[in-house]
Amino acid sequence: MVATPTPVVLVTGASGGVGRGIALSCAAAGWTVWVAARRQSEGQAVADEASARGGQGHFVLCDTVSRSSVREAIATIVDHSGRLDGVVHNATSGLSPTPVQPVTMPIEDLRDHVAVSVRGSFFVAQEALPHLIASKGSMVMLTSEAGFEGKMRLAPYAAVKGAVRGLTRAWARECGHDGVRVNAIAPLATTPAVEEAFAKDPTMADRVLGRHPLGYLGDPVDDIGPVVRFLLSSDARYVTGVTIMVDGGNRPIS
Amino acid sequence: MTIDLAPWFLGTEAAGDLAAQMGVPLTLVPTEVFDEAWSPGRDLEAWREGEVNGERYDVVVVALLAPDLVAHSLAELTDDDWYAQCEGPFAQWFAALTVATERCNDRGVVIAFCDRPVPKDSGNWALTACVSDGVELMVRSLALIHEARGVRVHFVGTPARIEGKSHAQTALHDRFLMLVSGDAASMPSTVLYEGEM
Repeated sequence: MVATPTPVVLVTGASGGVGRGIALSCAAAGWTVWVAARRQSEGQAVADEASARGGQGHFVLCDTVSRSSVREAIATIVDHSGRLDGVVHNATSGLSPTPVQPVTMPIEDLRDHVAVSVRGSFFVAQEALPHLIASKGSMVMLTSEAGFEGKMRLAPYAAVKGAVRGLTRAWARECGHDGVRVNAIAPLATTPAVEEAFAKDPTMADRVLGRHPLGYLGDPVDDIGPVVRFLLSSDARYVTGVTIMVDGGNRPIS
Repeated sequence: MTIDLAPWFLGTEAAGDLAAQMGVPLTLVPTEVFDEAWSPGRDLEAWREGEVNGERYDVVVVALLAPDLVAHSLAELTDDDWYAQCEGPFAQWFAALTVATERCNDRGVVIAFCDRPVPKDSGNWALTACVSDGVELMVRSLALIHEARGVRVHFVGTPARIEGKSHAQTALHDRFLMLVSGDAASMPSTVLYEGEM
């Protein structure tokens, strides 16, 4: 019997929030998890948590808006771990929870949204692709309920999350021929960004939770992470091109 | 209530024939090629500021159709292609749709015509799919923002130009006539995908 190698995965924006939850969930299955982030101290702390949960946690510096930074991060991973089985692009702009009026929003702010979420998806996907072809691995992109419905106060965030769904669908079509799967999730979870959004818009908590079927926001480690781990695993080998809503049933249509 | 069906038409050169078929002049949106730093971003912002408070219209059409529709595989896609065909159009659509909705009269209609690959044929069309899904979500958000004024914002995604269909322009014009007709007066903001069930 041939032993199946322990999966090696990269999670961007993993120094906190949903990214941390995904990293820790994968680590709990014994996987090798590379925590990619711009902030070394927070990222290293998550990597240490991952090791404590039974996986092999590592930190790698990565700014996903920079081609060279993504390239170096993936080279580091492959040099050290010898393979790459999955990438999760979770990083999103720090401006994501900030309410805006589109008509007065600086174009520079739109650039930040696009660079982190959309360009970051491109750089991570393209740099990882040869390694994922070799391992028959997969990608998971992070989108949002906002990327289905639009948002009155978060229009640029909704737009980039919609754009990521378009990339996911198209790349699933073309990368499937090489045995690489591409999926997305749209999580609703308790994160620093959501808490900040709730604080900036006092009506938001009622709007989000008032009609929520389960009545609570998901936990990044216990509610969101396992779904991403499933998509990265061989259990999902026949799943590609989908966006799974991991939102406790919050979306009005399915 | 009667509305003036002659639209204010915001578009690219590639949409010029469609504007002509509607019998209205084409107002060009700046489409300088973008780079990593978004160098043309300031000009785009200045254009938005200069246009946003102008005359209002009952019907506004936005059609930032790409001059050339080119397929790219993920493996071979260059950064220059990415900035020029994805990030640039994304910013231009955002500015144009913002202006269009601001300059639409109360209870008016805004229609966005956007190239969009059919999902089953979207392999190697990631740039176009990315922009069209982003534009769809811009439309959805702007529809929510302007809903209180009775403004309806429609998205029409079409694969016709990608597929080289000879009837592409006529199909868009027909869709325009449907969306501004009295029969559609009670229809809320909507998203239409052409070419699929």
